[in-house]
Amino acid sequence: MSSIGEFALNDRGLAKELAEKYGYHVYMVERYLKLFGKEETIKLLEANEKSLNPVIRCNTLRIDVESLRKRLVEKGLVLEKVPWINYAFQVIKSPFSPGSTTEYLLGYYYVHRGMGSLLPVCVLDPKPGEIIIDAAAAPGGKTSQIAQLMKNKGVILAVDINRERMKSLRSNLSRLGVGNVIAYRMDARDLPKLGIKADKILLDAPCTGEGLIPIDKSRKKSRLIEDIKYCSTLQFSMLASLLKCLKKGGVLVYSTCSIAPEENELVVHRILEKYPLSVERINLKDGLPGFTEFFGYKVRDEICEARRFYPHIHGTEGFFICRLRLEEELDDKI
Amino acid sequence: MIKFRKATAREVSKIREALCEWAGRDIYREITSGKVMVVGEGKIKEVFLVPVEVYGILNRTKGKRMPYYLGLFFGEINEEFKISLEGLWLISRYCKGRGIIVSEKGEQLFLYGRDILEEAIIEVGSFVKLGNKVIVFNKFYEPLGLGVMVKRSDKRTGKPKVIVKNILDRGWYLRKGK
Repeated sequence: MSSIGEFALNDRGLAKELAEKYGYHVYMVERYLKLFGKEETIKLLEANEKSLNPVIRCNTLRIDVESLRKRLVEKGLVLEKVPWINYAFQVIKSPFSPGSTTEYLLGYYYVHRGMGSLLPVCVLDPKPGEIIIDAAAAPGGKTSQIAQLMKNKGVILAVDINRERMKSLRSNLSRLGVGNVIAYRMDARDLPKLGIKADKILLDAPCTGEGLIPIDKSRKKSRLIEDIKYCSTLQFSMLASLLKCLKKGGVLVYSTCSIAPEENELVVHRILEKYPLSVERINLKDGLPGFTEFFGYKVRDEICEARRFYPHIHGTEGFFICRLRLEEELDDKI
Repeated sequence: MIKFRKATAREVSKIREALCEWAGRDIYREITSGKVMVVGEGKIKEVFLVPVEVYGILNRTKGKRMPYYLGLFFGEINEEFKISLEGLWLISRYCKGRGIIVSEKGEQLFLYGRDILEEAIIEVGSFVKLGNKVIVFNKFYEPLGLGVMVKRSDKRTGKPKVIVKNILDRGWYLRKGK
C-alpha cells in the first residue's frame, strides 16, 4: 500500500474538512478521495447519511411471493420489488416493525437490513441436492436463503464461532422451517478437519463493515486502519482453509460488506497467487467491476469480474462479491 | 456438550403414540419419510427430524466434532413427548379436528403469550374435549401454537366460561428466540 504521505496537501485539507463535516476518521476520507475522487466521495458520504429501507425476503419454503405480498399490503405495508430478485421487497413504509407481524412469526419471511446482503447467495446459485458450506452463517439470513433455493433438499453445513449468534441462527432457521442444515459452532478455519468436500462454499467474511455505515453510523469512527489489516489477514486465512473443503470444479463465493480493497481485491489476488482458482463472471446487471489498481497496488486483471456495490449508486450497503472456481482439488494437508 | 444419536425404539414408540393421539391415526411414516429421528442429549433430550443426507454428514463427522444442532427441532422427550412449534407446524394439517380457530384479536393476544377467552373462539374442532391439549389456528388454519381447554369462572359474573390456556405460541420467536 502506498503511504498516505503521497497525498497532495490540498487533498489532505479537503479530507480533513469532509471528515469533520460528516463525522469520519480522516484516514477513511483520505482513502475514499484516493479511490473515487472528490465528486464521488461526496456522493458516497451523502448517501451514507441516509438510511436504507429494510428488505423482506419471502420464504418460499412456506408461502408464495404473491400471497405474502397481498397479506402485507392489506396490513398497510408499502412494498417495492427488489430489482434483481423476484422473491424480495423493499419496505418503503410500514405502520409497525416488519419483524413483529403474524406472518413473520409464521416464518413467511426474513427481514434483511439492506438489499446488498441478498446478493451473495444469488451469485452462489445453490441447487437442490448439493452440499453447501456457509462459513460465517449466524444469524442465518443467508443460510435460510440458500435453503429456500435448495428447496430444503441437500445439505448445508452452517458454521459460526459466536455462541450468542448461533442461538439466533437456530431460532431463525426453526421459524423459517429450514430442515437441511447441520450447524457447527467452530472456527471455520478448522473445517478441513471434518473431511467434508462441498459443491459450493459461501464465505461472507467477517470484515470492518465499512459498507454498513448507512445502517450503523457508529462505524464512521469505530474502526482504525489497523482493523483493515487485521481483517484482511483473517479473511485470507479463512479463504485458504475453506478451499480445502471444496470439490474439484466447486464454487466459492467470497463477499464482504466492506469497500476497502485490502479486504476484497487484495485478499482475492493473494489467494489467486497461491491456489489453482479462476475468477468467474458474475451474472448480475448491476454492480461495478472490482478494482485492478488501488493505492499504488496492481492486482490480477481477472479481478475486474468481481462486483462492487455502493449506497450512492445502487441503493445498497457497500458490498463486494467475487465468484471463484477451484480448478484442482486440494490436499487437506496443504 | 450435546451428543446426537438416533432415537431408540422406545423413544420412537413414544413419539409415534403422541402423534397418533393428535391425528387420530398413525402419521409417523408420513412425517418421517426420508428423515431420521435424532435425539440430542444435553441437559434435556431434544428430538430432531433430520433428512437422510444430513444424517449421513453427522455419521461421517462423528468422533471429530459434535454439531450445535441439525435438521428441524421436533420436540422434547422425557417421560412424555412434548411437540415443538415446528413439529406442530408439520402435523397440524392432520389434526384440524383437534384444534380451535380464533379471531384476529384472539390471535394477537395469544401471540403475546396470553390465554384465549371464550369470545375469541370462532370454531371448535370435532375432537376437542375439555381438559385436552388443542392446536390454536387462525382463520387461515395456520397453527399459532398450543393450549389446553379449561373451564374457569368469570371474574365479573361468576359464571363458568371456557378458556384456552396458553402452553406454547409462535410469539416465542420474538420474546425469547432472538
